[in-house]
Amino acid sequence: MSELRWNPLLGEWVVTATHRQERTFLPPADFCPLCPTRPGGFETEIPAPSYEIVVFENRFPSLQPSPPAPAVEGTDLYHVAPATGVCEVVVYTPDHFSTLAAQPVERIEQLVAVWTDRFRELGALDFVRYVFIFENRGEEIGVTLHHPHGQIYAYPFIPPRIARELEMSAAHRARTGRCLVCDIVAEERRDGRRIVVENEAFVAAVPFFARWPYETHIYARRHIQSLLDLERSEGRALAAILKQTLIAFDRVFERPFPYIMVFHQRPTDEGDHSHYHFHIEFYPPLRTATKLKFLAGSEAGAGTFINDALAEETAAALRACIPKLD
Amino acid sequence: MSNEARRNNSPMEKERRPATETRRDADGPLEERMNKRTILISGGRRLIFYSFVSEGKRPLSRPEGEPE
Repeated sequence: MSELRWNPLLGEWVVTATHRQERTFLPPADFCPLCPTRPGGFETEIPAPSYEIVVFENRFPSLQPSPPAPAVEGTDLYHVAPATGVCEVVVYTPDHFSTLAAQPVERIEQLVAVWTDRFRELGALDFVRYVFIFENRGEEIGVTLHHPHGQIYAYPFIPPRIARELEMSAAHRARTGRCLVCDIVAEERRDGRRIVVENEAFVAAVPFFARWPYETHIYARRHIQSLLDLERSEGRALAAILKQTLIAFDRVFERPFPYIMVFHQRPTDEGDHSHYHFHIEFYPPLRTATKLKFLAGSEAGAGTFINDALAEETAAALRACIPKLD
Repeated sequence: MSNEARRNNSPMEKERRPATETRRDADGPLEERMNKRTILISGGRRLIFYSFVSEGKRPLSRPEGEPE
């Protein structure tokens, strides 16, 4: 069963997907569904003895190109719609025990090309309005498969956080004539204390307004709206800064660092989103090496985050862990 | 955005945005060295193998390890 249910209190869609209760949960490495299928071995989702990067439609999707009819009927107050969309899994490497941080820059650049291809292809579908690329890493986040992978949700609507960013970006453009994120990048670079690392095309910073202690954003320095706008050299620069940031995460507490990584790009509908600015956001849940930040009363109930750390201090800690790349 | 507008931000037909391709550098877009092959797996789901030709190497006819 899956369907979209309208929340009139918040003006948001909720996806109901009861079949996801059955999904594979932390299988032993010998039975990982994202590993290659070895001759005579366990038959995984990927019928090949090796591969480079693989993308496939999720076996337990929240959204489907041809979803079942909703299980309930809507009313004037409670609108219901089919859960139309696409959910894909992106497998970064055949090595079960690797990580995205451990991949060579060249492989991450190839992954950028794959993400770009998926954004283009899924965004062209007539029922898709927003292509959302993300990765959940670590059991602390609720990961059910350890094999290095990310996901893509192609939504039939613009999700509320993106809609809010679009509204704020448009308002800033109307008020100042400038791009909001370009101004954020300029402010962060002028101050400097919250910069984690930067290169010729991207800037990584713990933003002034960080909600999580080690929240980190990677901003394109050029005003672009999506991966489709990247020049080849910018693809390489993005791969490099991703690797540096991820290595710094794992070094800061000398342990695998859980995180949520999300790509914020323009919607793929017919609208003019030229005011929007492509960036990547990381939400790591650790506040110390052993303590997690939970979404409790204020965060979950009021939508107001309480950050237990100063962005200036956590940025300095991450900056000290940034590796030099060859 | 009004509640009505938010709700209307829902599954429906959209005009197709023309594909744009701006990854153009002196050394060409990485996608030109990207091979892509799609098969169907259980449940009629699409699975795509992506493989890449290394700089200075000839394209492979089929990514290593893929089934015939």
